[in-house]
This record gives sequence, C-alpha cells and structure tokens, in this order.
Amino acid sequence: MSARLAGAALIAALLAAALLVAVELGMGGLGYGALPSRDPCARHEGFPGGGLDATAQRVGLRGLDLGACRLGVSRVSLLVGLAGRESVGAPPEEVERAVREGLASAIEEEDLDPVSEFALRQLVLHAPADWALSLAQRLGLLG
Amino acid sequence: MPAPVSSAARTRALILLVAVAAAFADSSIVVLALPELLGDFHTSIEGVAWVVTAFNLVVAALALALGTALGRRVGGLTRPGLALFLAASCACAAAPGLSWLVGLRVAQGAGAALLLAGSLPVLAHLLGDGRRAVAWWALAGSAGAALGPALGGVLTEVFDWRAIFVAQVPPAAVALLTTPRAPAGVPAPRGRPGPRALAADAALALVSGALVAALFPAVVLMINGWGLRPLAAAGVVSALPLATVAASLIARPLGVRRTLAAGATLLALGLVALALLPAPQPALAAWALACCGLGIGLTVPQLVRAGMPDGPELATGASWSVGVRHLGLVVGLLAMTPLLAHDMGAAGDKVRDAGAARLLDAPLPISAKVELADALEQGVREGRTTPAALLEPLRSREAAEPALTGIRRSLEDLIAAALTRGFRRGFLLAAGLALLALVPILSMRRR
Repeated sequence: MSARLAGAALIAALLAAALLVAVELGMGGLGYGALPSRDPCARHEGFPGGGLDATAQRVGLRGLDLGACRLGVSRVSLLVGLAGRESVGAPPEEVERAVREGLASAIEEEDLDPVSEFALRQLVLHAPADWALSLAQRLGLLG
Repeated sequence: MPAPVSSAARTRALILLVAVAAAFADSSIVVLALPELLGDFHTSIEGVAWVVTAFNLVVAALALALGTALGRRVGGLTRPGLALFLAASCACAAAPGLSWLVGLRVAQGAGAALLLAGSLPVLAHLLGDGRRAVAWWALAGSAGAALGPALGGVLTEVFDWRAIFVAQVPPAAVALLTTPRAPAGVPAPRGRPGPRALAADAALALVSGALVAALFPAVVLMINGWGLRPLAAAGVVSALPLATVAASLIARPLGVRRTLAAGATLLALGLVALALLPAPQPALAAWALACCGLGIGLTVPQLVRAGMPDGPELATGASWSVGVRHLGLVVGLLAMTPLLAHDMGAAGDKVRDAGAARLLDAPLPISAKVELADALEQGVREGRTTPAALLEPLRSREAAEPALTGIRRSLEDLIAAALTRGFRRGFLLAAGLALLALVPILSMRRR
C-alpha cells in the first residue's frame, strides 16, 4: 500500500470512528439507561379494572405512593422496607402512620358508597397490621 | 543483508511464535469465560477478575525482574518457561475452585513470563536477524492479545471454560519439543536505553491498560447485560482482531509518530463509542471494537519496535516490553474492577427498583405478583447472572399468563439499558488511558 493510500485510509478510519460517536449521540446514547425515578408524589394512572382484586391493587398501590411521598422515598423502597429487607430511613411508627394515612387517602379517591368508605378507612387507619394481612390472605389477595 | 534461513529453522520459529501468541493471548483469553466462571464459582466481579489480574501481575513482575537481573542470559529460560506454562495450563483445566484457579494462573503467568522474555533472542537466532525477529514477535503479541477473547468465547460456548486451558497445551508441547537451547550469542541491535524507548514503553503500558479495560467490560456487558451467548459475543469481539490485522496494512508506509498518535486517538474514540452505546446493538458494538482494534494494530507493534532497538540487549528489551505491557494490563484491570463492581451494584439497585415498579403496575392478580416476586428474588439469591436466567420464572409462566411476555420483554430491555449505562464510566476510564498514551507518543523524537 502506498503512503498516500495508507494516509487516506487512516483519515477514513478516524472519520468513521468520529461518525460512530456522532451517530450514537444522535440515537440518544448520552441519556440511554438513565432510568427515570418514579415520583410517588405525582398523580399516576390508577390500576385498571373493577372487582375486588383490581380495586384492592388500585387502593394499595396509590396508598403506597402517598405513603412514600410523605416519607420522601420511592414506592419500591417503602415496599422493601415494609417487607423488612431494608430500612426506609424513618422510625417504624412514622412509616406505619404514613402507610395507613396513604391508604386512607387512596380509599377516599375511590368511588365508594359512604358507609363502605368509612368502614374501610377505619380499617386501614386502626386495624392491627397482622390482622389486616391475614384478612387479605383469607380473601385470596396474597395467594 | 540477513543470512538465508533454513526451512527447518523457519518452521521452528513459527512454532515458537504460535506458543508466544498463545502466552500473549492468555492475558485476555479467559475474559469471555468470566461470566461462566462468575456463575460456576458463585463469586463476585472482583473475585473472578483475579483470574485475569493474577496472571498479568506475575508476568509483569517476573519479566521486569528477569530483564533487569539476567539481561541476555534470559534466552535460556525459554524451554523451562514452556514446560511450566504447559504444566500450569493442564492444571488450570482441572482447577476445582476459584482459589485453585487463581493460584494456578500465578504458575501459568510465571511460565509465560519466562517464555515471553526468553523467546525473542531464540527467535533472533533462528531467523538470523534481530529486527525481523522483533517484527514477528511484536505481531504475534498483538495478534495473540487481540484474538484471545474471541477464541476463548468459541471454546467456552462449544465446550466450557476449561477447554480454554486445554487448547493451550498442544502449541506449548510442540514448541517445547522443537525449540532449541538458547544460543550463547545472538544478533542484537545495540545502544543505550534512550528517552524514545522509555516513552514507547510508557505508551505501550497505557495502551495495553486501555485494551484490557475495553475487552473485560465489553464482554461482560454483552453476555451478562445483553444476554448474548459466548459464541455470539465472540463474533462481535472478533471485529477487534480483524481490525488489528487490517491496521498492519495501513501502518507500514506511514511515519511512526503519526501512526501512533492516530492509533491512540482511534482507540480512545472506539472506547468513547462503547461508553455511548444507545441500545443493545451488537453491530454498533462491533463497529466500536473495530475502531479499538485499528487503534491497537496501529500502536502496539510500533511501540514494541520503538522500545526495542534502543535497548542495550534484545533480551532485555523483550523482558521490558513484556513487563510494561502486562503492567499496563494490571493497572487497567485494577482501576477498572472496583469501578465496575460499584457501578454494577448501583445499576442492580436501579434495575431492582424499576423492575419492581413495573411488576407492581403490571395487569396481573396480586397473588401472581407475590409469587413472581418470590421467584425472582430466589433467582438473585442463586446468583443467576444473565437476564434470561433471571427472568426464567416469567418465561415459564407465559403459557398460562400471556401478559407476562410483554412484562418480561420490558424487564429485559430495562436490565440491558441499566447495565449498558453501568459500564459507561469503565469505558471512559479506558478511553482516558488511551488519550494519556498520546503524551509519551508525542514526546517521542524522530530516530
């Protein structure tokens, strides 16, 4: 290969490398993989559907969002904290109060008759957590 | 004019060069097997990285010590080096655990150091020309280091990681049988080690560090992040050695400094391209690795040659070249491994949060979500390292619950995206090493 041809090949290789970087930037390479953190304080689309399972999920997920918003953590961090795997960074009583109040607010957002709404609100605000979980299991909600 | 070489001597030189390429390849040949070792030995990225680091550390330390202590007598170590390399390769193939494998890699590295440091004077004797020997020895080194990962990937896919070490036995055994004893005196360019040789060695160390810091994460990303099979990953990685060979055609007619500067720039650009991958696209990764390969092909052989003839002895030059090259590999690995482990941990946390969020919002009954969460957590505890293995609980339930197909695909995309970004700082670190090599390269004076 002549020196002139080799020089041209070298320049072509450098341009191809620079082009690759430009193409990747154009395809959004800079922001790729930056997983957006879900803001629990923002209003998200509710869990779709009717029936006991869908309503329970809608209330539960919205309640977790509102509780997480009060504590200043993500919904998943709160869930992991409730499962006892990691600390949420707040005293257990504060976490429990935030979750109960979040669930109560989520029940208010549902289109329920006043009696059911009052009963469910009292349940999530005051019922012992173990009892509420065993009730959910008996209803087949937790498998 | 060099004396004519007999065909027998040429054949023996060729056999020794294959063994030299195998020993150089050993720096990186295990890289494609690292994900399998990660699963087999239930270890961490730091733990498995020692399989590569231990080998390179011993080669670097021993080669530098031998070059300093023995000078031209180092040629006599070729055959003992081949014997040790052969025995250690056999033992590595039968290693029962990670600590055994790391220990045996130390022995293999010692053998490789003796072989690599001692082979150049023997080659010069066989070929009757020191400069020709340096050129072939440098080419064997580049080809071996660049081919290593692809070869390792093929062997891991077709057999398993142990086959990588078995494959090294035949070339070492044949070379042991055919390599002559070291000659008393060998034709060698003489001179004093000058600033040019030192600058070339410094640049060689930095470029080698950048190479390993490119290969190691690129392979782990493709197999563990994108879920490619080792054979497919080897196909992508093979862009690097192919480009390395192609670079030798360009490099020959051009000036040394210009070629070296362009090579280091190409290597850095290839690494930046790997850092900015916008999707799990093997074609883009292959393009980026080809740029890295061109950079390696334009720099490594030239730097080896530039560092060699100014040395006081061919043997000392070879030892130094092997030493600084592997020292660069070790520095690259040691800088890369904690960064990678940290960023992978952070990426894992992000994947867990985002994955859990998607599973929570998925249109499935609560009981199914609880069951899936348990199954996924068990997969993490069992150390499943690829997206396919991790998401197997979803795949196995797809027939009964078609909605899971979309969720699984979305989780696969999520894992690939988070891990691709998780490797970004590692690639940028490697690009920094390549750019840093420009400093000694630009300081090299014309001969």
